[in-house]
Amino acid sequence: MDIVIQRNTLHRALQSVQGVVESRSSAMPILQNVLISAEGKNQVRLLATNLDIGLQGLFEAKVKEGGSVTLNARKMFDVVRELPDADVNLIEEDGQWIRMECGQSSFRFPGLPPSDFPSIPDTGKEKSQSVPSKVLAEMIRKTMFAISQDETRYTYNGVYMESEDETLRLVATDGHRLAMVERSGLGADFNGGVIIHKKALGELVKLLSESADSVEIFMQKNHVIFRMGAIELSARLIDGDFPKYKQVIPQDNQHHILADRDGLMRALRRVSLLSNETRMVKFVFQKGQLTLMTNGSDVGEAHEVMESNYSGDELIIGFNSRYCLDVLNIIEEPDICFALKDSLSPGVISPSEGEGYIYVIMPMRV
Amino acid sequence: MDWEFLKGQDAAVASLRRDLASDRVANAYIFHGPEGVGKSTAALIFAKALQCGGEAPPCGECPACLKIDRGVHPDVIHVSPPEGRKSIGVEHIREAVIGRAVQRPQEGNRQIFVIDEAHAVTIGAFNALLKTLEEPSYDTVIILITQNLHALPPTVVSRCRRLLFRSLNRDEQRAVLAASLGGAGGDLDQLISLSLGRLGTALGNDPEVLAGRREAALGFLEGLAAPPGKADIIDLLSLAASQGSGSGAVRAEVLRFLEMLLGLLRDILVLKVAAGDLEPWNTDLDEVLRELGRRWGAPGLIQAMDRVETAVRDVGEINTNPSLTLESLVIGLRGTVGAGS
Repeated sequence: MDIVIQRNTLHRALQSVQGVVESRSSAMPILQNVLISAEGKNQVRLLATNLDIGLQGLFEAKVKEGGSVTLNARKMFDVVRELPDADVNLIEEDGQWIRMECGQSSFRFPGLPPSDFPSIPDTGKEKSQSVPSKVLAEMIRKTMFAISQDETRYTYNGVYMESEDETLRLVATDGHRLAMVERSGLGADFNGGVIIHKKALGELVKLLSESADSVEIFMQKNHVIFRMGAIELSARLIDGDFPKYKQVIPQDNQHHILADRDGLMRALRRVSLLSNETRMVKFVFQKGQLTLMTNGSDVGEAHEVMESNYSGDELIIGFNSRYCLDVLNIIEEPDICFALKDSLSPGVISPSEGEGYIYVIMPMRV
Repeated sequence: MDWEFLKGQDAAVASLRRDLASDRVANAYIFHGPEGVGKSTAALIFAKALQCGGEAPPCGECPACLKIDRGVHPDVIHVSPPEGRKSIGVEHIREAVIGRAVQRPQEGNRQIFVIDEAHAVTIGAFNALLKTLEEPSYDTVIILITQNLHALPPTVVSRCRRLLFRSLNRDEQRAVLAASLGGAGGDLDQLISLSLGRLGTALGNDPEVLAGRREAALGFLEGLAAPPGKADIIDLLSLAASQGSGSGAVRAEVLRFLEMLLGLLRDILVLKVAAGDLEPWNTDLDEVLRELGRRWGAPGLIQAMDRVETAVRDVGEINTNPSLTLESLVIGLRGTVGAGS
């Protein structure tokens, strides 16, 4: 291989794959490398994977001689970062060494055989589905925070994506709360639904924020691929059944209480400062008012009274304040709606207007 | 490398090939049997047969087969105790097996996990693995390899298909060594004797080192067996101590010495009670061993072997001080001499 590529292009290319390069030495040293291969006369493909996520991109370059090489992605990135803005020449030498020249500087890297590099699924000619980048990014943002941090519960470690009657739906849960977002008119087919790991989602959100108008989604047997312009991210699917989330969403919560999102959030922050290690805050609904209370901790107790449109009998329910704050932070609308049944049934928080976002939260025993 | 390469394991091979042919591959296997008889090789060939994209799996030529041969196939995952450690802990199993088994394969047809030295997996790690063994996804195959089936918890054993890899006889060993070493092996019969019929030992060690070790073990036995007047306990103790001196790899060295001792005792017993029916490994020491055998009765020999086996376990698993274990072994063995004769 012999290629000439602009320093800035190479820098951008290497930067885009850094996120998935294996940083520590694992059983497969080649995962620390990036695969660079010449494509036609004017492009190179950069490819990196940690076996959970694969990233590849096409970048402009002058190809003098075709071929492919792999070399340590981190070291190469460090070197390229320090190079002046000029043409960089990459030449494959005997014995899998790669020489990189730029101006008066010359570097040599040891390579590993490209045939040892794990293959990354190809989008091929399959049909894709297009979703606006901004919409997908927002849907991920609104669910991802509810993913479980417990690494041993694999099906809870990702966001579940499915489509039903031209509606795209994302769901995430950790067993204590559940976030579900829907957008209609986006008929993406997910073969009945897929779970995408949170690590892949993190990378995806980063790419979506820089990406053009829409993202193309390709479903495959073992992977789902997101293509944004010249960059493709492939995520290995989690094999397992996502919990039956529909059974968790309460349908008969008869009390609907409106609240000012910002006011509630500020009050909750203040009151929760004096909660005990369970982070529980008591919500006391009475005619016309809502009182937030914390007591029972060594550090003190707090309560704050707010106006409310509640009109039923007194209802006391405890929630984990962090779970509440998480969702209040994410919702953009000025007003939210609580839907409650009684003090032992799950509550629902959603924006007061507009459909498509539901947050279910399990109560704590008060 | 394909099934033909595996010598003397017809029953195990036939069973694996039957599973492949009928597409009824189990989710979990245990390959058990003595060291160096082809368990790991069988796992490798089996993995190739499962991943192969060629027409007659394992073809040995397709990208998948080649990657498995080079150990870089992302869906054939080898797990063994980390460097410098003796066990495979729960974190290791979670990261390397459980966390990956819930994912779909990267590029192969299935994901294959080969857990070498499965007896080194801690009980906690096995417990964590139980659910994966019990409810694996269709495309996961877990192969546990061990010399010691009884070291695995029954909860694990009952969830796996068991395949016994039997000991190879001298002719089969000679064939395998000839194929692996070519002309470089020197006197193959001598090598088989020195390695006590363990192919793994024969392939991984310098024959001269093995000969030196046997010399030391033989000297030790001769010292033990000497008539009361001539036996010098102090000499023996210092001989034992010399085995345990030095640093670093002492424990491993002592273990190998003890295994050699065990092999010699076994041969003495064979020559004494079953000459003609069973073949001793150390055929070249026939006379010397027979001579030594006169000093022991059969019960005494069995007792002596028991004591050495206990010492192997003490040093290998319980982490006792190797020198002290050897010293107490000298005293204990001395008591078996002459017993029952």
